[in-house]
Amino acid sequence: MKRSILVVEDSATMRSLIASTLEDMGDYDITEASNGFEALKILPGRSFDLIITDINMPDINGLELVNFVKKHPTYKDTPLIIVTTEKAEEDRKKGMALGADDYITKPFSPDALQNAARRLLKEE
Amino acid sequence: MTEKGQDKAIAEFLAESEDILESIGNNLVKLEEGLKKSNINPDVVNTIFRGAHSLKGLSGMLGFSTVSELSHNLENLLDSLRLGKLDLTSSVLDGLFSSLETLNNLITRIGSEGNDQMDISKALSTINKILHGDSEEAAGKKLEMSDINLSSSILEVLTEYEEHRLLENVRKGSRLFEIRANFDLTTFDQDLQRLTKDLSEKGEIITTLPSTGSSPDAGIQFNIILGTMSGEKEIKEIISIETTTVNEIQYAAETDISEINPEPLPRMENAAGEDSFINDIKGLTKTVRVDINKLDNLMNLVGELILNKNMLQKIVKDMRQHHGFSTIAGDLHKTTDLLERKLAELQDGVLEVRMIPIGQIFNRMARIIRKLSKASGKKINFKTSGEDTELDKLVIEDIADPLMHIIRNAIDHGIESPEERKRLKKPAEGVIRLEAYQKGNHVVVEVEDDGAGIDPEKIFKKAVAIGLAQKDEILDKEQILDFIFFPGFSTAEKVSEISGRGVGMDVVKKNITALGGMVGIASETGKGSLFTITLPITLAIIPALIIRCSEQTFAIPLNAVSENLIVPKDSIQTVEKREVIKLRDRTLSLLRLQKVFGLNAVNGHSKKALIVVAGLAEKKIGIIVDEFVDKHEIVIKPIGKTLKKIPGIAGATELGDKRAVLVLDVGSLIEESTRGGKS
Repeated sequence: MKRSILVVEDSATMRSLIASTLEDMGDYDITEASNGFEALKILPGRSFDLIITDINMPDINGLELVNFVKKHPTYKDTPLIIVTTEKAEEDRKKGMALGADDYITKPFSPDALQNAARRLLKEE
Repeated sequence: MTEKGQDKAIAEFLAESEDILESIGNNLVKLEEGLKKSNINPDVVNTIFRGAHSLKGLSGMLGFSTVSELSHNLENLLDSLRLGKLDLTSSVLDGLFSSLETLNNLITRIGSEGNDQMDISKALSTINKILHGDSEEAAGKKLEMSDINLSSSILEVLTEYEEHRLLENVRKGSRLFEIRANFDLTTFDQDLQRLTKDLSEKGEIITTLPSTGSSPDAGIQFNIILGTMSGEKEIKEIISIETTTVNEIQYAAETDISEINPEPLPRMENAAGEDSFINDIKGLTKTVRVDINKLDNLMNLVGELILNKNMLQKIVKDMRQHHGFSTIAGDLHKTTDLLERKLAELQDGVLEVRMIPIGQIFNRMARIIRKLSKASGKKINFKTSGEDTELDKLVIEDIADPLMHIIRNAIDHGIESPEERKRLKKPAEGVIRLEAYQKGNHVVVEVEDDGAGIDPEKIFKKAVAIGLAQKDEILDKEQILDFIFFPGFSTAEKVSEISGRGVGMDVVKKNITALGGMVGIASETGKGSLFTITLPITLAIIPALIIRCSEQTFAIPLNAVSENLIVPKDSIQTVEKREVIKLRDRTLSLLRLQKVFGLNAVNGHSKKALIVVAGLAEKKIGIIVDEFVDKHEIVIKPIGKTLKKIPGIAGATELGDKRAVLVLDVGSLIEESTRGGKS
């Protein structure tokens, strides 16, 4: 079965950039959500092999999503990568403290994302 | 969570907290030494920080708010230290030690009283004085997040921007409210949007924090922080949802903060005296948490030891044959016997550690039933028994999905709507019964519902339609009901919301068979259905009967063997192209492994046939073999992908002589035989 990845990012450009970088890596079932709120709507009844989320998003932000996922009995073991900016060190720390498995900083190289994803998908 | 589950969670919490506090204590001592030599290791500070952070998280999860609050403050202090915002001095260290002491007292109290209600204001003010006393900013009028009495679970998740907005609101003199709303998973998007819209009219929504709430499968909770000039009453008025609570968040007024006096730190005194010190060193629980992988490794080691023992026993046997009963052979025999007994004890010990009560899963099922009952409008009374029945942890994990599927089906296709039940003169409330009990080497799990049952006629028609059965075939009810476990079989006209997840009963069966178990169904139209799942207690090491057939060696798990027979060959009869024998007035179908695996038959001259009567639960078959070899403890190892697809093989194992033999899967052999080579 194809492995599935959920990409949560409010910027459409960034989102498709992440998706296409992942697609370069292999054949995945990629689901896109434009903010944390949409991600919450997608999650029930589904399971993902990896979640990649931006931090700064309106309504439900990335930290809130990380918190939700990592405390949820069903999803807590799903590997999760947060995408942050160089400046937002505090947010990154919070995200990692909340249980994110890795982070990448924007602007990121395709390698950085692919390496992190590969590691968490255990496809090294 | 059941009371027992809660107790267990608290026991685990205590064990982990003790570990954390002990580690913090050790590291504080290291810091003290480092401070004397003016050589502070930043890693040590970071480790302490992480400890405080974990403790905060753990205590928050279990609702020990005092521990959570103190560890949160401690974490703040350590964060400043770790980020170099605060210098480590002996007075800071004193403060850390005293906080640790207070935390130890709190944990002790949880262990003895079950709660953490204790006055920690002294410890908190100590931390605050360190944090603000040394900071130049604190002397000014700048507000800090710690001045706002937000629960740590919310503080953790605020982004910098949200923190900034929160502080801005406070500066403006807004009141802060925490609004908790619980929504159903199916409708939460519209509900939240409506609430957000209403609240926005009254002020600024600073954050919307989703959480799993009390029933993760059915609902979702949102904690909204609102900054507003309105009062509590006005906020409550605009909220139309019943399950919503509104709480005002207090924060210290700005003047209070400037008054904090950066005087030298007082050393915290131990109010409880020496008693609490004794509690510090004594352990509270005797629980040790272990990664299941470590247990697996241990189990594998035991398995290998058993193989070695088997080898040793073979050597003893050879020695006796070749050297007769010499003293040395006798001694070796005795020693090997002793080794065998001790190994058995070791194995039992390791197995016991892996066992957990099945009740954990029952709780999960209860939540799913509540949710489905709500979604379908069917009333369900969920009865359970045998929660304490223990199974191997890995078996427990893998049985959850099949159970859930059976229950979904029972609600979706079994239990009728309340109106329909009324019409049928059944109680409006349907009953689903989940029961577990041990039966010999197996655990039986039963799922029973008092719904519509399964109509064998419908099943048969469908089976004929999709080519599983011949139109004129005569099958008994049991055989017909068994069709529901075939791939591609589903009687529902269309996929429904509840059971339509793309998984059929065939997957249920596959998962259970993969565990070495069996699933059977009994059903009475109009009265209900009963699924019986028979599972091995453990997967790790099992005794097996070693047999030979067509010059091949096979192992048959002993828990599936009921007896061995030696019968005259001419007592084997052929009925409807099947070989059978009469066994105590019952007809026993026979199975030849040559046929199943395509082996060459070896024509023995013996007039006797050797038969292993094997089966799980009520279904039994006779396996015709050439030779009974021995009884052995075996460790089943998974085999390569190519062999995996062969029905009848559960895996491979190694015997003492290092040769690999295949382990028969009795469950699927029975299936082969009852199907009579069809499918």
